[in-house]
Amino acid sequence: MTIEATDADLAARARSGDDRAFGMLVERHQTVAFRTAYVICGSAADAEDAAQDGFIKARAAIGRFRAGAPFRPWLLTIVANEARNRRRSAGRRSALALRAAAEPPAPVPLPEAAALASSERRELAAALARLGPEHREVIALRYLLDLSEAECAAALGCRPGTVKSRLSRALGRLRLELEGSRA
Amino acid sequence: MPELELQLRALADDVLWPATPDLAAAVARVPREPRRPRRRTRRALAAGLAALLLVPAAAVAFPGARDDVLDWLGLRDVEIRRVPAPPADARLELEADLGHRVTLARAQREAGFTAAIPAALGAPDRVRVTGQRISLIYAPRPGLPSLDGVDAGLILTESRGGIPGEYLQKLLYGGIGVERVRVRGEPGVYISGGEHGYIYETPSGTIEEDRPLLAGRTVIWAGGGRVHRLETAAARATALRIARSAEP
Repeated sequence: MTIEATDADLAARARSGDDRAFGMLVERHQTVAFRTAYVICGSAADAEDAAQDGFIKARAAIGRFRAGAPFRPWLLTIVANEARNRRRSAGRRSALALRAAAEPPAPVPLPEAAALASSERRELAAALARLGPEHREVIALRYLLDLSEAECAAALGCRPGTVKSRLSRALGRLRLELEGSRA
Repeated sequence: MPELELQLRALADDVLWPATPDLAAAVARVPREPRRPRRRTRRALAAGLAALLLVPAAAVAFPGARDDVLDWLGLRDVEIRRVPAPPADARLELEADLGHRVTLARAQREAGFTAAIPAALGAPDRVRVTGQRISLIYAPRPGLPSLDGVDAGLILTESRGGIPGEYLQKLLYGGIGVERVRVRGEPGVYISGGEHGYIYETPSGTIEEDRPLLAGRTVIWAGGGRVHRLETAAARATALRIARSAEP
């Protein structure tokens, strides 16, 4: 039976200069790092650069990574900082491509329940896209990327308690947007 | 869980995420940065780091021991060499380093060649020339954030390659990435990951090897008898798209 190395094992090996171990950490977390950067930058090219530079900085700083601490929040802090720097530089408003928002109504009749679900998702995606960056980011990280509150806090550069309050405000704002679009 | 949160979790299946790039391979290509003291200022970056040196194939010798030669570039006028440490007196590039300001027509007459204009950007906002080197300067704009030390979003410098004495040096400090790219079918490199230094021969023929200029992300490519250097803080994809639109 093969036992997969844990993040802690790989980080410990990377700290001692094992680039292959760090490479395995990159492979393991590159998707969540890239998507987190994409949520913040709103551009795939900028997200790629932010995630790549974030991994390079993480490798350079791996000696300061605290043994036993979870690796992913630490990594997301670095990547998200890179992404925010690029967003500031570009003055770009982030946006997510949502299939539900982009697709036109289905050309063939759908069962009533399915049609309703599709319509609600389009409304929800459109309402989410109308939110300001602060609200949209916390919702995207928490629900679309399924990050934990600790990971959201790392990516947003705030405390976990702030994530809760920011999420609460964002959901309230999203409800208002939905009510407005249905009125 | 409240209904809205359930709907958001269901919406996660509908997100069209861009394909995740192969970051593991990209990161592996960048050499590990040697341990160094905490950075003090950008201008002090040059001190005490390992470096790579990009020089023309027929360049004069650069002081300092070389422990590696990266000749895989295939650039006729440029090659990369690793050096143990860059000169300490590096400084940020200033617009005045690019020569005197002239019209594009005047710059082309002085340099003796026609500049390649990136179709993606059109006519430059400013043009500077020194010797046989033309620099096209584009003001910052959405997608082209301002470069450090220069009121510009992008600088495209073109010089004639293969000319005796005409050459370009690049100093790439530890942790700086060098990636092979192709621009309009010609070989080139993309330098990223932080500031790097570069040295040009001055019009009078002197080479200030001890005072390299610091620059940001850069695409360098050869073609049409020229060496092109495109510097921008924009994303890699943007930089390459603009480089590839430069009509010789």
